[in-house]
Amino acid sequence: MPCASIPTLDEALPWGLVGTRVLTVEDDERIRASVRLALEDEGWTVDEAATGEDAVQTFAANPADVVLIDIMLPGIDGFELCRRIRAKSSVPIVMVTARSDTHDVVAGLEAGADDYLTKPFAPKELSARIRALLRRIRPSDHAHSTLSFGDLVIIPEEGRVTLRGEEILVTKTEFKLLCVLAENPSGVFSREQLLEKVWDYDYFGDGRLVDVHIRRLRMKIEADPANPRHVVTVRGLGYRLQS
Amino acid sequence: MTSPIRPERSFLGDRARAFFRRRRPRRMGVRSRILATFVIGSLLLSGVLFFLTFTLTRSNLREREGELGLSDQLISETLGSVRASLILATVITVLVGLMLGIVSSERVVRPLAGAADAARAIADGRLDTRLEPTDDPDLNALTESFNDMVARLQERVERDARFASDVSHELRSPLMTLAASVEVMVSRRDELPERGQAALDLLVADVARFSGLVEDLLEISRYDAGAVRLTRDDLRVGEFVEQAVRASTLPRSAIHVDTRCSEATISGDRRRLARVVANLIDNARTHGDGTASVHVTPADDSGAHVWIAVEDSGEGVPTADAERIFERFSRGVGASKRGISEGAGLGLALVREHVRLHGGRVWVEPRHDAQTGARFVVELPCEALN
Repeated sequence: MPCASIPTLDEALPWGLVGTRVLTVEDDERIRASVRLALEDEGWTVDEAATGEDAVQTFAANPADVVLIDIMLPGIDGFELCRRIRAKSSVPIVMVTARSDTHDVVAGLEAGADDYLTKPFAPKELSARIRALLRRIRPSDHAHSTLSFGDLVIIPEEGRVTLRGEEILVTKTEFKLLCVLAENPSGVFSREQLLEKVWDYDYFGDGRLVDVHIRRLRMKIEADPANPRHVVTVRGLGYRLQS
Repeated sequence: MTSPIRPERSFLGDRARAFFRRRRPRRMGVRSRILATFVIGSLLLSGVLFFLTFTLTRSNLREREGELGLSDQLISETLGSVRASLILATVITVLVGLMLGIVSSERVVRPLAGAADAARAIADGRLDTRLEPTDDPDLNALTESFNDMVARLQERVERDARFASDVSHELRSPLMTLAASVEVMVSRRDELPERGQAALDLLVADVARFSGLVEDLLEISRYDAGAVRLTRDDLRVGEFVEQAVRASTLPRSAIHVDTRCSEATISGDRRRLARVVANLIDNARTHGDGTASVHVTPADDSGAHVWIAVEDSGEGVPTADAERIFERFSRGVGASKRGISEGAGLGLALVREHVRLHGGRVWVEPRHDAQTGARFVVELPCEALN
């Protein structure tokens, strides 16, 4: 699996993603088939599931590198499926929503999705999103094998985070977010900068991605998520990581 | 309140009717009518009482004048005091009548004012407005039928809005399949024979257009359903316009940002305002000579508003069409000559909706620099304009 090693950004594109396994969860047979064709053109392996239950089984049998989930599913819905997969794995999840300005997006991100797309999307957009999620952050300073922020320690080479010596389970995207914030310990990162560095979005990316991920991160690494000590908000400017 | 004309039912001649109509006060409200009824009623009542009491007292006194040996002076004094007290009683009665009239007319009019407010609210789009139920059996009939009417209206409006939205939603799944399949074919374009390639190119262009149309329809049906929620950010005008133009179909358009605006911020929905700029540029591209220039200037010296203007070098928009082109599926005058290959006809309508929701306005005018062409101006509220 390409993701087991630690490829830098340059290595990851495009050869590093050959052999990537994508699980598509979508109840519409035709959409599933056409998305499959498009993703296979990228050189990726595609697993399919028509229902949430199917998806859980398929994922357990063949863990994918990325999961694509349509929120409107018969049986267990996309949100619940997100939570179930998230409970077991830190795999990047892209969800597909019907609308971008409803609560669906925030609810999906809070259920554990890393990014979202609005129907109808072009397969090119989807593959760009998948690439962005699978891309690894190259630590800015290779001399540091660990980055310490008080009781919070980030080990970029191993993709691990510890809090007071105990390992914290973070998703790949949350980890990327932490690494970007750690790049410049005293600096403030705006939402736009984080969107670009973590998700590879341009100026028109959705700021809610950053906000929800920061919220999720705080739940994991802050003693009191309402009064964060590590990931602090700098009003009007953005976010900063501190000890 | 204007009364309906009922020519057949009047027994008066045309001229007499005209005479009375002319003499009648033009606008006599319900309130004034009730008030007048009370005042006239109390006047009549006290007048009758006055007349009866006074004449009875006087004839009584005259009859028994000799019998009791009353002097003329005593009689006239007695009658004088009786008259005075009767006048006082009349005045009091009329005043009480006036007050009662005011109170009861208020009571009658209050529910009407409530109904008028409710009707206004409904016209403004708040379809969930209802009249408070009362315990007054006379008013209850009105309240109930009013609420019933609004409920049906709401149902109807929502059904229409839902229909457009449902249709567009249903179109999205096949569209998704089309878009994905077309893309797979595009990556194999070289393997196709020439005629196949030509057909594929047509397919690609129209799948994109279809997709844009469905997206626009969905967005506009959201406005109809009142379901649009803005995701607001503080956007720096200069930076935002630049980014929006770069993402549009004419990314190399000239942008002129007035130095006074460079630091100004708009509190706006990034994606929707970008659509505003993109749609105006699309409009300039299809209706002009394929170029557009964008100007950002302060609206006036107060610094509370900023203008984002998109200019083209087309034929301009005649004043008569200046309003109409912002309507749905209305195509500008120039478009009919050029055929209808471009645009879904919802672009400018969406511009207007987006801008309106941001508390701004949009209009079209001739260019200021004596050249032919249209100038579309978007006025938006902003902060910190220097």
